[in-house]
Amino acid sequence: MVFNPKAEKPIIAVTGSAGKTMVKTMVSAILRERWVVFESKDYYNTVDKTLIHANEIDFIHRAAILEYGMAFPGAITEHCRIIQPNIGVITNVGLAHIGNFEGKVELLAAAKSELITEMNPSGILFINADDSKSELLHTRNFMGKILTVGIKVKADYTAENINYSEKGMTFTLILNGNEYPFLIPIFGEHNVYNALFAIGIADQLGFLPAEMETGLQTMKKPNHRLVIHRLKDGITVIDDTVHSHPPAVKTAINVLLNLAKQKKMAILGSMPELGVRTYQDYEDIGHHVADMKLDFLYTFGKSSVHIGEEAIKAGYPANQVKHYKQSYLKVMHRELVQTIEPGLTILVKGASRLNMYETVKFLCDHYKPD
Amino acid sequence: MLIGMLHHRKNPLTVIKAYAYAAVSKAEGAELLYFSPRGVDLENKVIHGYVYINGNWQEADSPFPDVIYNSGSPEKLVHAKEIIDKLREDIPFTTFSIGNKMRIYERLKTAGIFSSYLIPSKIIHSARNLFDLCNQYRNIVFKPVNGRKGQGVTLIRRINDRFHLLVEADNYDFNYDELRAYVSNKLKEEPYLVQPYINCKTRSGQVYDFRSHVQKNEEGKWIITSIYPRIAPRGSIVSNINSGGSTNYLVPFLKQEFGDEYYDIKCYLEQFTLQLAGHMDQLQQENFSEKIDELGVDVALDDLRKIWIYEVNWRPGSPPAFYLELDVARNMIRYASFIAREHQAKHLSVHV
Repeated sequence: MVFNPKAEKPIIAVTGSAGKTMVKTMVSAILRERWVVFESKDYYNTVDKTLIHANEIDFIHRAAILEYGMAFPGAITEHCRIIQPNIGVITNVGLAHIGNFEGKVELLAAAKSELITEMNPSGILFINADDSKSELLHTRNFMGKILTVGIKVKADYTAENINYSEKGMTFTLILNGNEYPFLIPIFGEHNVYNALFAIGIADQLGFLPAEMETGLQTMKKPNHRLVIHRLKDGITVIDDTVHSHPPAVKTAINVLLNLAKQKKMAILGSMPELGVRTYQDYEDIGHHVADMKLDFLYTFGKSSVHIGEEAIKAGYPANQVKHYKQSYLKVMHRELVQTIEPGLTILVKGASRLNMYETVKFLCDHYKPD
Repeated sequence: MLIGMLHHRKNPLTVIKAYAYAAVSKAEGAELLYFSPRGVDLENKVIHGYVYINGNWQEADSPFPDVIYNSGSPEKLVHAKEIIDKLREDIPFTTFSIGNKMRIYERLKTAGIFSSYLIPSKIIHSARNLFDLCNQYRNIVFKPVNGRKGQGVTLIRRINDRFHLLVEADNYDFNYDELRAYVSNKLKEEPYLVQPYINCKTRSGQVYDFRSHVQKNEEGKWIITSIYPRIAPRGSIVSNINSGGSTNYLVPFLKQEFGDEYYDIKCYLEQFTLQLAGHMDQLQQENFSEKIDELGVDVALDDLRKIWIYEVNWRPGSPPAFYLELDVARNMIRYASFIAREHQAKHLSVHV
C-alpha cells in the first residue's frame, strides 16, 4: 500500500545538513495556499520539541511540516518514534556535527538514513541527486517511493535556466509535461534546491503549479539570511548575519558574485570552532576569495585573520585585506566609509553571536536611499 | 388554536413575513394574532393586536393565545421585558435565544461530540493576539462576534512581510503597523474573533459554503427545511446572499461539484445537520431547560469531504429563493401547534 495523502494526513519531516528551515518554510508556504497546516517554529528541531509538536498537531491541520535535527546517532529514530512521517526529505549530507560521528561522513550518512528506516515504509522520500555524499544514504531497502531533485544531474524534479534576478532566483521546471517559470524571493543556488524539494512535495500532494508559484512568491523571507538592501549611489548590502558554516560562506560569496554589477567587497566574520578543521576551512575560504578576485576583503573577529593570510598566500593583493578584532567594530565602520565607493556590493556574513547585523544597520543608515 | 405572533414592531404591515404566517395559519386550521408588547393588557388578560381578515390586517382585542411565536427582538424594548416574562409564565413560547457565535462555539466545544468539526475560534483582545494567530495560520478570518449577514467579515493573508485584507469586497494592502492600527481600532468598537481560513472553493474557484436550515415539525422532531449552497462573488470570501453572494439548487450544484458522489454528500450534509441540531437542542435543555425550534448551520467541506462548522445561527433568515418562505412558515405553525397541545396536555394532567 502506497501512502495516500487523500486518506492520511501528510506528515513531512525535513532533515539534512543545510536548508532544513528553508525547505520547511517553502513547503508550508505552498501548502497554505489551500490548507491549514502545522509548521514547526524555526530551529525547533530537537527531540524534546518534537514531543511538544506531537501534542500540538490537531484535527484542524490538514498536514504537518517538521524539521528533524540530527545532533547525535539515534536522534532521528527518536523523532520518528514520536511522530512518524510519511514524507521524508534529506536535503543533503554535509559536515555539520561531524565531530559527533568520529569525523566520518559514512557514520553521518548512516544517522541521516535513520529517517529512511523509521519513516512510513510506504511513504515518499526526497533526496538530492546532485549531492554526491547523499549516495551514502541507505536507500536500497526502502519500499516506498524515492524522488530526486537536481540542477546538474537529471532528476525527478530538475530546475533549468537558473538566473539571479532583481527579485530573487528564477528557474524553469517541467511538471507533467509542461514547462513552468518560477521565482523565489531569495538568493542563491542552494535555495533553488530547497524550492525543488517544496515543489516536489506539493506536486505529490496534488497542488497545481499556479499554487506553487504564488506560495513561493508569498513566503515569509527569513531574517538576515541573504537579504538584499539596495542603498543610495548604487550601493548594495547583502545581509547574511545568522550562520557562518564554511559551505555557507562560499555560497554567500557566490551570491555576491552573481549580484554585483561593479566592485565587490566581503566582510567575513570568524567561524565557529570546528577543531582542526577550522584552519583548513579558513584556508579554503581564503583561496576562494583570491580565486574569485573580490575587490575588498574585510575580516572581523579574532580567528578570521587566517582568511586574509591564506588569501594573500594564494596571490590576493595584501593592500585589499583588512582585519578587525571584535572590539574594533566602530573603527571598522569608520574605515568602511572611507573605502566604500558608488556601485559597490557588500556581503556581510557572520554567525549571529558576532552581532554583525550592527554593521548591516550602520551601512543601511549611512547610505539610506533618498 | 390561536397562535400569537409577537414582534417588536406595532404594525404588521411593516413585517413582511407576518402575511405568510397568517395565511399558513389559516391553511393549517389555526388563527394568527399579531401583536407587540404594548398591546398586552396583563390585568384583563387581553391582547390588543391584529388579525388578517378578508385581505386586510384588522385590529382586534383577543384573549391570550395558546402559544406564542416570538420573532423580532421585543425583549430589547423598554418595559417589554417585564410583559414578556409575565406572558411566559402561562403561555409556551416557540423560540429561545441560543447566544452569540462564541457562546455556541464554547458550548459545542465543551460538550465534545462535535468539537472536531468546529473551526478553532478565538476572541482576540489585542492586535498582538491577531498577529500570533496570523503567524500560526497565515490566512485568517477576522469577524465581529455579534456580526450578522456577513457584515465585517475580513480575510487577512500574510504575503511576505505585508498583509492583504479582503473586507467584504474591498481590498487593502497593509504593513505591520498599519494592520496593528486597523485591528486596534476595530477592537475598540466591538468584540472580534479569529478563525483559520478554511478554503472551500467551487471547481471554478469561487468561495462557497452550505446553509443548512432545520426546523422542528408537528411532532417536535427536527426536519431539514432546505440545504443550499451560497457562492461568494469572484474575489470575495463572503458567501452571504445579502453581501452579493448567489445560490443554486442543492442537487445540480452537488452534481456539478462532486459528480457521482453527489448523493452521498447530500445525505452526509442532511444527517450531519440533523444530528447537530439534536445535540444543540439537548444542550439547550440541559443548560437552560429550553427547546430550540429552528437553526441555520453554515458548513464547509474540505478536500477530504470533511465537514467544518463555520457558525450556527439562531433564527436564520428564510431561504432567499425556491418558494421556501411558505415551507418555513408551515413548519413553524405546525411546531407551534405541537407545543401548544403539549402544554395543554401537561396543564390538564396537573389539574386532574
